[in-house]
Amino acid sequence: MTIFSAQVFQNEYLPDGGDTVDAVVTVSAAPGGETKARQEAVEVIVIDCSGSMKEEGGAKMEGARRGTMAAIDVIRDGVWFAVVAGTSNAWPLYPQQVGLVQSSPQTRAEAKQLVARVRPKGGTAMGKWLLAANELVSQRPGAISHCTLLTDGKNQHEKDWELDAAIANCVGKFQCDARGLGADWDVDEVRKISSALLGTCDIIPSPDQMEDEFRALTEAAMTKAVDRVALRLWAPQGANVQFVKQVAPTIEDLTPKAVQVDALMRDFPLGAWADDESRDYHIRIQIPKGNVGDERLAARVMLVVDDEQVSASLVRAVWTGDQALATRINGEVAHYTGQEELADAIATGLAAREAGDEANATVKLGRAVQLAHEAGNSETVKLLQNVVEVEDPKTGTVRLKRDVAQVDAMALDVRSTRTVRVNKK
Amino acid sequence: MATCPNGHESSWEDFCSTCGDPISESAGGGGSTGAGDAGAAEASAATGATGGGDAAKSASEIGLSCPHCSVSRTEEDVFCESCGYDFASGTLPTEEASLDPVSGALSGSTPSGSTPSATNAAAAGAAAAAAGAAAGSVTGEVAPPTTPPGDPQPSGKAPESAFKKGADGPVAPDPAGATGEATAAPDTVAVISVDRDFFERVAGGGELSFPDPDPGESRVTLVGNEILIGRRSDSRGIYPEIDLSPPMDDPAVSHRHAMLRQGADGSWTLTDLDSTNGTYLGDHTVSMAPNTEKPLPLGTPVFVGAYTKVTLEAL
Repeated sequence: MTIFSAQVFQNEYLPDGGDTVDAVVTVSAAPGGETKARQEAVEVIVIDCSGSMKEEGGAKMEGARRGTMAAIDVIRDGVWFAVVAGTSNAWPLYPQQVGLVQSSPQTRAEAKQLVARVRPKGGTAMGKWLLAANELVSQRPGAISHCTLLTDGKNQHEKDWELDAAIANCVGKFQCDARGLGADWDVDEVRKISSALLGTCDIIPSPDQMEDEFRALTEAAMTKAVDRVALRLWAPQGANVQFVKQVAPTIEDLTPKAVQVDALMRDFPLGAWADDESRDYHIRIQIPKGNVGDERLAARVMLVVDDEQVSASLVRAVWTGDQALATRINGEVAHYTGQEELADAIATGLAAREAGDEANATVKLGRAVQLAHEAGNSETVKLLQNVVEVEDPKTGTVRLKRDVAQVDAMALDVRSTRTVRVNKK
Repeated sequence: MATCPNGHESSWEDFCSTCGDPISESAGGGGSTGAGDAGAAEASAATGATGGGDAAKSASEIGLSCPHCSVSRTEEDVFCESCGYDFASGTLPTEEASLDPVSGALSGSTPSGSTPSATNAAAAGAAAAAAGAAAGSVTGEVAPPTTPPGDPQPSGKAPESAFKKGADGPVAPDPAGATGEATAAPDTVAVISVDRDFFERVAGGGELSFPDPDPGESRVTLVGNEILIGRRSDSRGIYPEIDLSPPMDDPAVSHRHAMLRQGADGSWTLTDLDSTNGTYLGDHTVSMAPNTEKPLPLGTPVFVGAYTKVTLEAL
């Protein structure tokens, strides 16, 4: 069993006439409580077998085979699993009849033999792959279900609405970590999948990185101990919840995922958790104004696991005439506001660069370097350095590089939402 | 049940569960940020006879609303009256389906096996896909909206599974030895170019024009032991390994034109797949008999379409 706790960081003091409350909520899961039998789990691996996987003299397909085998190797005994080959259709690769098989040394060996025989053939229709994964996970309702999806190209062989309909159909059924191999896929398209299905999106620049990446991804999926966790937010009558964002380990806007519970409460699905992880959320709420001296509850933040409320924390508002108190910004809130601006600066900077607007790209990416430097986000600084020449990180003075590898620009784009924790400066 | 200064009945004793005002001086005067979790948990457990869980349940019954657009709904509603959200499946009507109010309304309830009629094949295709999605599975064979009516597509098949099965999938047949052909290194490359003599013979003086500028030579490494020559068709799901749709763009090539096969000894054969304009082996004066497999030595040119020449070379 897993124990959840939540901690609120905020400056509760508002000036006279102030109505906007910012808070950062840190949610932590820890092992403990009654020991229950481990929840059943499902792992579906979908590998792209489109014709383009032939490229690089077959190295892409070989990388995908090796990566999939590495992933299969770390599927825990007893976990239900399947491997799907994705083209312009979805094909059962292992088991060969549509279904799931329980992991054991024997079934893992059988699966790897079949993976060795997969070959590139056909197109790319990720919506069909997702529906196939959904069909498989639906065989074990109640299990913690995870899908690892690999593509190397754009979703060319179905209409956009087909992919969107497929994603909508899979929401809440399983989580999906999506990976793009090489530089010929579309970051926004793949991120759309992982974002809706509460997973991560990343680039695997070269086929020889497949094994490490897929092994790590599957190992992480195997640690998940509890599923269907939701953050339940109560806000007072007349309040406007401006946003709820996950801000660590990555930035993910949860606002559009709200499910209304009643007139004042809504749930934001957080997916599956390992029993040793912690995530931060930034909440901004506009509440009805009070008079100096008034106090009001701005939000009650609860965690819901299996429809049971397991924790509650308070976000408060106190109106004060003391300007010094009211203008203070909480350290956590300031830190994550900066990280959100950083991700935004990278996204707009890259878009400007793509559009040939060099002046704007230089300004935005320069600002990104400055913010990443201030926050101690050295990984992001490193990624930015592949795209810009940094003259002075403190002032954000940069020059655009001329010859930028497409994979470097994509890596910056896809990893721009990774944040650092406030205490890890 | 506590009552707040504004007269709301509150299910919590610290702050009003409607307006958020403090309920008593002692609860409001706490002063410190993030007041204890335990207090809040107690408060929700101590809501009188109903208990916290029941309170939450009755509250949810009062305020049923569309999760997509928040417009209120009744328990009987199947779709949101405002945005068309399907409460049962949790899906929105697709763009195409909602263009036509009739098919839009059908999209959640059409039996998944329905066959698109010839008159509204496009809309029905979308609706069938949406219906399949609602039922938890979409067939790989649903006709895309662009399919012209009457096109002999496998769209009439009842959608059962999101999976496609069969021998022509991306899984190589069980290899005889331990080293399957899937892992065998490719050893042949196809060199594709245009040939003016061939063009003058088969298409000269017709409507087609010889490509200008000359697209030059392109090379495709042959991976696998069956290589299709043809033109890509998204609607028919044909993706030839040697694809002569643009940029090669030979309009006289059939979608499934000819097949190259590699035998166990590494040698290649060529079979014309009953293409519209035929396949010429070695010399462009006599076309091959359809569906007849002929040996294809490396270096022997194959002519297809209006001007395309394909020659195999060792890699």
